Amino acid sequence: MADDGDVAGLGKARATAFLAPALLLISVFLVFPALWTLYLGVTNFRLSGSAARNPKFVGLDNYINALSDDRFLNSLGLTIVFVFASAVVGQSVLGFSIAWTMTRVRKPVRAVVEFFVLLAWIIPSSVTTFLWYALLDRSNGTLNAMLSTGHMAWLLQYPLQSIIVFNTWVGTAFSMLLFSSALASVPPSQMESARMVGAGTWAQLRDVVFPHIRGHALTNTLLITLWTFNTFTPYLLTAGGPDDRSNILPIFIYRLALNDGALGQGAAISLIMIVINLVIATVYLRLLKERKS
Amino acid sequence: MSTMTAPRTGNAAPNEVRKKPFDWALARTYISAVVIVIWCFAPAYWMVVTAFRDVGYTFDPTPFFTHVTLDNFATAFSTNLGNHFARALGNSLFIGVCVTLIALLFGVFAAYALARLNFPGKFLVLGVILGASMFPGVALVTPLFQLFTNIGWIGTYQALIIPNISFVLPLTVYTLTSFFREMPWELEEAARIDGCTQGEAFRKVIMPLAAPAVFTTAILAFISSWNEFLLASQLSSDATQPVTVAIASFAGAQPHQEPYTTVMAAATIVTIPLVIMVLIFQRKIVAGLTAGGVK
Repeated sequence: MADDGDVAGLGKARATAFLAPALLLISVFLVFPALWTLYLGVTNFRLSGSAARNPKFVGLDNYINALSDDRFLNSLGLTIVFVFASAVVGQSVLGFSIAWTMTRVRKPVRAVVEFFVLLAWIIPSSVTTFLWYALLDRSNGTLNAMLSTGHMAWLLQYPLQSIIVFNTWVGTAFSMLLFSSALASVPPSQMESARMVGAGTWAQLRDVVFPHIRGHALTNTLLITLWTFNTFTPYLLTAGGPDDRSNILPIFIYRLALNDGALGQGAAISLIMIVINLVIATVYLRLLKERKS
Repeated sequence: MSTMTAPRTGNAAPNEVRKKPFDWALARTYISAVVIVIWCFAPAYWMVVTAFRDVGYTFDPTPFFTHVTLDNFATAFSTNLGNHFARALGNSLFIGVCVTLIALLFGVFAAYALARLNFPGKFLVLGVILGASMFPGVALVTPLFQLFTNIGWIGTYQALIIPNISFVLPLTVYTLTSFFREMPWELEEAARIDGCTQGEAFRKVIMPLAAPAVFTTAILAFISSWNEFLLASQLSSDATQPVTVAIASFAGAQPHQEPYTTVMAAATIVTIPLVIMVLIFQRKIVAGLTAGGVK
């Protein structure tokens, strides 16, 4: 009995029955749509018109079009900048800095700070985008009123920077919480002895803290990279504009498929996105594995 | 008199306190804490201030509560301008509860099997579940839209509930599995040796122990469903619209003019349940968020 790993004495039939409902739902509403995307991507399917009734097989045309389309390449470039600046740099660095700062304050203060950070993370995206819209608005924005910058149109002048700051703001909480619990796993005695020998903050971080939390840092980076890569929320702030200057991939796909009705083309780019997701995940998992072995 | 001259007991002698230099590092730390709180809270604070402000002073930049009124809340709930905020709130609640209950039911069974059994293909199953949680939501909109158009589900509650369950499930299964791995399963075996059936052992011994983990996961599932926007914006009708979509499309008295104060009032109401949840369950939410990521 121990050999088959069935420590709970569950039996194959019941184990299958336990897993089946969850897997069925995930398959039908997540995996199947993804596979459907594979099919749509090789057709000229459109939201309306004759191509909506009788989609034609177009082979790899959608993919070739995408890869030679300046708008797609522009979008891909923006997405890389967006992910790097707001997730890898913004959320990670800010999240870690907050977590590190919080190791030195008293518990109640820490709980209060944590509460507010968590709040920023938990408010629905359609609400937060409205709040940021109000903050950055041209004619009556709060930021202009505070900085006396007159009628600075932040979202029009600096669309990409705006959504980078916004996304950093949204996601800091998760990184902070993850790093907090990672920092709690650093043995205090080692920190103590580092301080005793007079190690500065940087030396402490480099020699004592980072070796302990590398795994957590990698996991965190993986998760926030994927989330940021896939996030659609900035659409509610800039709608990808002006002139596509904040047209990151999810927004590009949304506009292409649902505003312009080019479902086939949108599906092809969706699939490219899924593949990039898988590549990112594989690279990180490799790194994690290397670290463990 | 003797009290004046008697040396104080305890280690904080007054002269020692006086000599201690001002701790600049600590001061810096606390100043950073204040800056962090302002950075995170400023937009939400501004939301509440505007929500309570008279509509004539919408763009008054005074950062305190001025011209306080409850009118905006009344306007938010009013149906005169074609907004159905109360109905949208009800929809969100209904969808959230359904999604949470069903996802939890399926998730607990799946996580139990994954945490307790070694079977061939287990890592494949975990891989599929993890992989599914990485799909870009926007890639799923088109296929789901087509699917639901074909079976006539657009604008129905099931079109909003069922896909949401499958969005929440990977997170649910993953978080619960990492909780379940840490459980003292010897107790279950002990209960069975004492004559409990497997079902009884699970119900009487494991369920009470697992309850906090299940509850934590339920909170996260509910929040995730309550906040979902992208799919709902495409798959709902006016009647089934959840509150996130309603807020994004709030109509004001004048066309093309954002009814700021009303939206802020509505947004405040949407945020309140979440604030209460964080206030009460902060520890649990933190534990749940980090459980999947750290282990």
